[in-house]
Amino acid sequence: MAMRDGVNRIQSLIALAAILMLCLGCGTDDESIVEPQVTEELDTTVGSDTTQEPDTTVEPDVPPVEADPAIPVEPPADQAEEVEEVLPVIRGLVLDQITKDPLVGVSVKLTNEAGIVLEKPTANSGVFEFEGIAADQKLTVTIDIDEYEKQEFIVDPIPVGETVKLEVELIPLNPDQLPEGDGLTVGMKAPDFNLPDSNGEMIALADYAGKQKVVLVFDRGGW
Amino acid sequence: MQLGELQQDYAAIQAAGAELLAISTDNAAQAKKAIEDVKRLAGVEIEFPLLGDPELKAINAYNAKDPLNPRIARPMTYIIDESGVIRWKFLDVRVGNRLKGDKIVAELKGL
Repeated sequence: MAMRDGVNRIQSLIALAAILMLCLGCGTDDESIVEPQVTEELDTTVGSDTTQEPDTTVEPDVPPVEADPAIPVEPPADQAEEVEEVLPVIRGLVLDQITKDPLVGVSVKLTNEAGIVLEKPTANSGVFEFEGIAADQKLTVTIDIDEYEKQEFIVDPIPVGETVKLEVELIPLNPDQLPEGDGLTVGMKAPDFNLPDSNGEMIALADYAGKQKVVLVFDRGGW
Repeated sequence: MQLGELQQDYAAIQAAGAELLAISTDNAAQAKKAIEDVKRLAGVEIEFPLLGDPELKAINAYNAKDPLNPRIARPMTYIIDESGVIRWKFLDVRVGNRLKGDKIVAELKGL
């Protein structure tokens, strides 16, 4: 129910794009890493069923200090307690698992139980942020970029007014090549193989996937 | 690492949630003979699979070809987790720097 409310709320807010921009602008005032630009992208994606909405691009930038008529503005002192209208926020950082470098332009997708998808890329510092998410719904987060292994996980329902922070490390599929004979880099996907044992029975690495770890010993032979 | 030494730690490796697989360029017949030799000479029964890679398919895929002798593998050990990601690696760089099975077990338990 709460999820429905949230979705409906977002959609109705989209319809009232001008007001929505002010709402979200209000929510981001204290968030230094968020540019108004990002907020606009979110709006266009939220309305995946109303994608041909051209008026979001017409939105003027909202000056951060401007008062917001759509949401009652609390006195700054006890803001946190009284802001009930601020929808959940998911904020995160995507890094290369080996180098710990931030990854830019990674596709981050949120899918709710109703199958509605929000998608946006990570910004220059590897960060992403989704605001105005419908509260109390289970979300699937999918993080994907070429050259890295795709990651998918579930985020538990987020109550109104809360922010979930995620830090995601992606595993490179083809990390820097090590010198000949120095093996592969820790953190990379282990290549599959399918080889006969001493009885001629075929054994593949994939046989153990999802079940067991494998200690793989290479040796000179001539045992 | 000698096969007999590895066998001594095999039960502990399994208890730590892993299977042990050894790969060399020996074919199945050579591996069978090696198992018989270890049993006869050291009294140790090798219970983990010895996989034959005479065409160096896996050895090349793991960049494990010995630069000094491109017909065989260079000793190295990996721990691969359940999701197929390499979590640990040990290169036997020098003869004096050979891996011990208890080190593998300790690494497995630390994952």
